[in-house]
Amino acid sequence: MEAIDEIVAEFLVESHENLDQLDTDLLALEQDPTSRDLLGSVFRTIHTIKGTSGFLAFNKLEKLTHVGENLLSRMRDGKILLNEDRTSALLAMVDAVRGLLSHIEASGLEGDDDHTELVARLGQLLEDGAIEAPPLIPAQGSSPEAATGATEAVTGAGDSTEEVVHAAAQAAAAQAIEAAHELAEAAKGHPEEIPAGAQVVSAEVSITNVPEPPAAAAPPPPPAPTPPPPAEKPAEKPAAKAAPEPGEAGETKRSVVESSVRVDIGLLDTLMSMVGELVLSRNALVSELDEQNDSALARSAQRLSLITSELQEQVMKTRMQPVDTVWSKLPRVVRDLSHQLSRNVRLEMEGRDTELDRSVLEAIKDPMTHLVRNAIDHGIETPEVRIGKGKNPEGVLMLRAYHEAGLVHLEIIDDGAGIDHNIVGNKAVERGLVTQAQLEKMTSREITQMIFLPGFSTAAKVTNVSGRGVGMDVVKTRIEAIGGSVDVVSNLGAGSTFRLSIPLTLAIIPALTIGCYGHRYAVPQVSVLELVRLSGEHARGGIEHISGAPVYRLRGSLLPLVQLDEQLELVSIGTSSGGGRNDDGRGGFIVVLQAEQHRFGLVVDDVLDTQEIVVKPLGRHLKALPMYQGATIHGDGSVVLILDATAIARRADVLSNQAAAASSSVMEETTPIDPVLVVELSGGRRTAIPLDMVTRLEEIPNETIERVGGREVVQYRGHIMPLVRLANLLGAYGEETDNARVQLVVYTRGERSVGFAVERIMDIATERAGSRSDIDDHALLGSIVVGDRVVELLDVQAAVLAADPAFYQDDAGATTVQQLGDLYEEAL
Amino acid sequence: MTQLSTFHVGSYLFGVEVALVQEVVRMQKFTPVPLASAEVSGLINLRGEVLTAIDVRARLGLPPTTGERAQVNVVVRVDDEPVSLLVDEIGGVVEVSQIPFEGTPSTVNARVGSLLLGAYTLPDKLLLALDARALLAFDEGRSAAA
Repeated sequence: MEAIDEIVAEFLVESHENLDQLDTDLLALEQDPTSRDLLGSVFRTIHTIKGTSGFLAFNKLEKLTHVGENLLSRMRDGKILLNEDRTSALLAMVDAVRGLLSHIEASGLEGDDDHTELVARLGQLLEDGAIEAPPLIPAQGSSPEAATGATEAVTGAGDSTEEVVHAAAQAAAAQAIEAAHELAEAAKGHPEEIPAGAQVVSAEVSITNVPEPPAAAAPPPPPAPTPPPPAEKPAEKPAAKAAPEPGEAGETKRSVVESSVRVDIGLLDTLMSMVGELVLSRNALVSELDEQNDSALARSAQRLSLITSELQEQVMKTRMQPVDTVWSKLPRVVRDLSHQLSRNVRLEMEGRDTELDRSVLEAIKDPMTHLVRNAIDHGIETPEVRIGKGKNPEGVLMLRAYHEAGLVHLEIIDDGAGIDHNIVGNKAVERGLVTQAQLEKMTSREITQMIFLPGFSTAAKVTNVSGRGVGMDVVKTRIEAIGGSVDVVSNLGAGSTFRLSIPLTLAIIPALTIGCYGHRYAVPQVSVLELVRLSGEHARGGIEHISGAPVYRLRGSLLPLVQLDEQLELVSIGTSSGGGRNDDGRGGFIVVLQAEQHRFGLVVDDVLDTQEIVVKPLGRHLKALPMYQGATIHGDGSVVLILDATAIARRADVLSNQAAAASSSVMEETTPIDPVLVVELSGGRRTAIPLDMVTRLEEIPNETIERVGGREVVQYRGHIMPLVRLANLLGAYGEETDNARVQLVVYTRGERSVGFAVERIMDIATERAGSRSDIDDHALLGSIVVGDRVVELLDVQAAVLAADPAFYQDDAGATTVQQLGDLYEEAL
Repeated sequence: MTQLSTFHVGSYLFGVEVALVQEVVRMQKFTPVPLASAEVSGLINLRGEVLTAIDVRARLGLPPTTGERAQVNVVVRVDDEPVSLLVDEIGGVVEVSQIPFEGTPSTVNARVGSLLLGAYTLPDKLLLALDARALLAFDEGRSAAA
């Protein structure tokens, strides 16, 4: 509903502007009736209004503009000339259109003005013979001669006039009935909109009124001249009547036209960069003032600072639009394409409100459309094929948009055939893009990426769908042109995900300034979750090193740490100061960062301040360094590099193995080491749980465990968390110790959590790569060597399902207290 | 190419097309860029624009400057991107249309030679015409792979 309102609002603004132009054009046209340019412009304007009103189901408006358009098209074709009457009629039409538009603006409905006569008059003017017809306006027809002339003319036009009038009347009646139906339905659908009822009544009134004009027109020709004059008046009168209505309803509400202005995007760009400079000057002023002691000046500066922030925010906003402005065109694309290719596709959208800079939206429009087309053409199979593969015949095409780590991510996910890297590889060799030898050295992921190479197209033939317009290479070029990147992940048989990641390089962003090894760096606030201060002794106590991989216990949860000085190669690995290299010998800080759904702690020497920074791009010699998103200039004029949280995480290899493997082959040099949490079950049996599957460690009193049906649950952070005793699950039989407190390892995914009850938390250890052996046992992945002991590796997924079979069903939310009843029922 | 802006690096006298040179600035503070190639000496703030400063000595494989005197930034604009070249000392603009031009002399070392368009034989000295594009086209991806 809101989307429609938006479209209507846009339509109104556009139409109002166009109508103003139309007035001028029509008048100019009267002076120069043969100007094809003017005629063309007038025609286009009316045509646009007609088209849009038809689309928005404003039938009256459509009918009115339609007949106007017919008249204009005749003129444009040179079949008839513009004369005074036609101009008047057209201007009357413009007024009537205005009236209708203001009704739409006030109430969302076309109102009950009756334009039957006007439609008839315009229709009449369409007739060739009418060129010679003396004015139909009685003011001029007051002389008897003219009156007779008119009568004759009308009689001459005779039947056709009548027909036109009749047809128009019928159409109007049909329309009115339709409108009434719509209103009735609307009233049904939205009982709260009581005024709609009143509209229904008036709509009915107009239905009863409709037959009258033809009654007046149909009888003998003499009265014929009379219909035209009311044409303007009825249009005026109801408008006048209606006027107080919107006035009453929203005196204070500015009309749509007044409240929005079209601004050249170049002007906004200029404003934007000026605001950027202003922010920098503000920062410079503020840092100067910090060194002086002038309270009056400080107050003024404070105020300037506030206004600058506000201004900046507002200017930013002028350029932001929801991604939906691009997406809203896609359902149609999907519908048409799936018909054309006999696919059955359901389009889903997530994050439609995600706002993007206007220029970015403009730039992603074509790539986005292409990727959607591509997903349907090459991705999603026909229903028959899908059924054959055991898939739902209805394919799902999902669009996702979200902000993360200072980037906007747009994903196009299909559950289609996926990309066969063998086919891609062969094709690439065939096209001479790579040699066979090169191909053999490539990973399947690298091969898949070749679809973005220029000159690559897997389509067997150039189809109407994907073969035209932009190719994958153009998608890549366009996205890279705005500083973004394109990535594809594909599972053969299960679908593909294309991800566009677009950095906010144009934007001003809030950032945290940190100190490391005597230098300053900025970290975008979007990636910063929290700051942890490491005080002297705590620094040593809090950070635990496991085979060189530091971890910090943050409120019971385990946070992998990354030493910034090591990552920037300012010190050699293993010699990090641990964040203590700041001026006054204090401990350092852990900046808890978020990168691709993972948290990690960045150990830095100092946290200085937060400020708004203008992101400046780096030159080409530094483009290849993923660690930096860009640079900014601080108040003192120095250049400060902006760190990219995700790139740091990748470099330090703290993302999940999957993500790390996916990030680049660079990481392959280091042996993958998966940290595990070693726990003891009853009877001294030990089990290892992969650390990335551990969200928190908790200790709870035994008595808080409740039984629901056959399951043990505990109330945890407002949810019911099912427990599974690993000892029972794995069949570790031993002395059941009767502890008053239970140690829990909590795994959380989205809203859901599961707790594994264990005897004791032992240690965080590192699984030596290649030390894994398979054990074919329930809920175990195998055994690994930790230290000098063989430890079983828990299959967390199996264990989770043992506790909560519905855990991985995303749509089902967390078990809430309300659902407790259901659990009881299930148990009975 | 008739006029060259000249500058000294080590014992060499280099020249680049005068049209490429945007300005010469004596700078100032550098912000080091960890992980970047050795040729990148840092970032400078040129009136609100962030420029990469290229250490020409490092690029030519010369030892770092012994350093009493501050180096000079020659800001060149190549392919519409300004880059600062860090040189030892700036020379004048030399009109070279009347000066004999020859290929890269064999006396210069190979690394330097690969970045030259050729040499002008001034009465007292060789003026080496630098290929600015080649000079800036060093391995831009090194650090990504590091």
